[in-house]
Amino acid sequence: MEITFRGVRGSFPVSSPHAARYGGNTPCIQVEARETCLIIDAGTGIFELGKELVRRDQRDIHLLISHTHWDHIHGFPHFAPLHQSGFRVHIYSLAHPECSIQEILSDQQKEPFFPMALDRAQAELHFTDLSEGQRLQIGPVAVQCERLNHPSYTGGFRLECGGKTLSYVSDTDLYGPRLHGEGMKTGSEVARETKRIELQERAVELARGADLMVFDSFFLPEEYKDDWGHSTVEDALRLGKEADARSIAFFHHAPGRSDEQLDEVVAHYRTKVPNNTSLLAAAEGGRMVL
Amino acid sequence: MKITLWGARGDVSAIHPDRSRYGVSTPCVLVEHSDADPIILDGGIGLHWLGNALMAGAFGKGQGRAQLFFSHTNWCHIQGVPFFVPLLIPGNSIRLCGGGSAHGTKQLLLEQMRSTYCPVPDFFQDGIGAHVDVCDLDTEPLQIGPLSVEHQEVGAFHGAQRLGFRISDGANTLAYIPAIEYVDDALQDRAEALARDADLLIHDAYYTDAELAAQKGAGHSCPAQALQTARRANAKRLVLFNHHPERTDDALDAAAQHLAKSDLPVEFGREKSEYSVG
Repeated sequence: MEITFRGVRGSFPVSSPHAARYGGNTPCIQVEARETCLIIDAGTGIFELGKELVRRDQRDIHLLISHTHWDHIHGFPHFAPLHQSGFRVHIYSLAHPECSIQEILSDQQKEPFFPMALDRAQAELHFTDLSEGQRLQIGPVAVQCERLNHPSYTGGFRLECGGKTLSYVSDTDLYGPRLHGEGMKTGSEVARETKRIELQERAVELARGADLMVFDSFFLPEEYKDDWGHSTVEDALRLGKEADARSIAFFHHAPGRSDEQLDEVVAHYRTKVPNNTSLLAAAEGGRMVL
Repeated sequence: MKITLWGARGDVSAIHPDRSRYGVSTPCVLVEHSDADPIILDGGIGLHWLGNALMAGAFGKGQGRAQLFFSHTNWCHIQGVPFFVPLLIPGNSIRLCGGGSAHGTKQLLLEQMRSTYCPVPDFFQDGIGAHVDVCDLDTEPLQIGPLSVEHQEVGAFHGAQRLGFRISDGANTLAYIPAIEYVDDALQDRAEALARDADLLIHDAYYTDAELAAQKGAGHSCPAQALQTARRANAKRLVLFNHHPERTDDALDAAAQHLAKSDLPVEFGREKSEYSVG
């Protein structure tokens, strides 16, 4: 698998010199596995990627959407392959019990918010609502989806191909004291604690032995807020250790996080990971071959 | 009046090094006057950064008052609202006004805050964040301190009613027409009425002059049309706005050079550019 970071920023796109090197586009990761093209999330990073895929006539595209908060879908209406006949875009997302991924994406493109309705797209669109723990095969890639601890319904993904693994664990508050997802917050204290631990175990399952683990590192430890549904850079190291990941990429950087801060954070925490683990902050354009 | 562009890009903030000088934040313009609360035109992504700047003053202390006007409700003109931090600070008082299309402005802004899309606390509810008022504009001009704010409908595009604004303190005038397709003479007249004798006209130039012919029905205009309106209306200065998401800095520079021969000052709007009027 060849992985390219196309957007690494959380919340909203950041057009500012402080984010020029690591990049300001919202989440989007391109995964190429032989002839199969997968994309994780449709933040603004998908804009340039879409134009490239049209140029190279990549007619089958598989888009995994972790959840439907704006920063993970607001690039979708501007994804050039949607406007190409003969293209097929296959879209997968963890099911929301009240509305399908097709409905949520269609609502994004309705009047008076957007001038082109999704059902007028030239490409053929296929939608799949995934259940928790679901596994599916996309070309040579085995995909597993598990629920994360984040408002609404959010999934993380494990992608395996040719003995190599990419884990995508964003967005989530993995080790915080609260449950964030819809439908998780009720029940007894014991039930909620059980759920919290279960979510942590599922994240370990997603990240187990990963060659690259991409993790929600929105906060520095001193910034952490327990009601946002995001993790810290130290949580990334903790999951990396528990899951024995080979490399860890800080991801979903806060909008105000400067390039210099990210350099410093990586330099600081590099001394705190085992020798056989590599640590980086995801940067737009960054590429890794697993 | 002091006018600052916090976002001048159309459609989507797709960040790219070739577009960094003019910036890619979607539309947001701040209008300041020494005797009036700040007026904000459109709530694109630029609104977040404007909010951070405002937090250094009264808005950070929960003592700020602002009025925000939407030209229309395509995402790129409202998507910064959930990330406008002054809305989360109790004590601030913020009024959001738009044409509302058929739905009403509040309904449309609430749709953006749906939990499937947005995890931000719902500051439209009483007791959460600032005091937020949402209004649909009627035809009467609003008075904000010494400034009158007039609007005109400048067409509709796929269900989104579009407004242009004219803000004046009696002596000096800003006209703002961020999205317009010149489909008939009546619309041309309305645009000219908004821009009549304006000291500064901020105008849609999403397409180039060459592209426009093939973009009938696509909802936007080009520099030549903006110039025509500015000339006919006797506007003193023209800032072109709402740039196509793929337009590079070099392309905008080249087009600006071409326009330098015009009989009135013309430039392409850049993020953080400031203009003094009067």
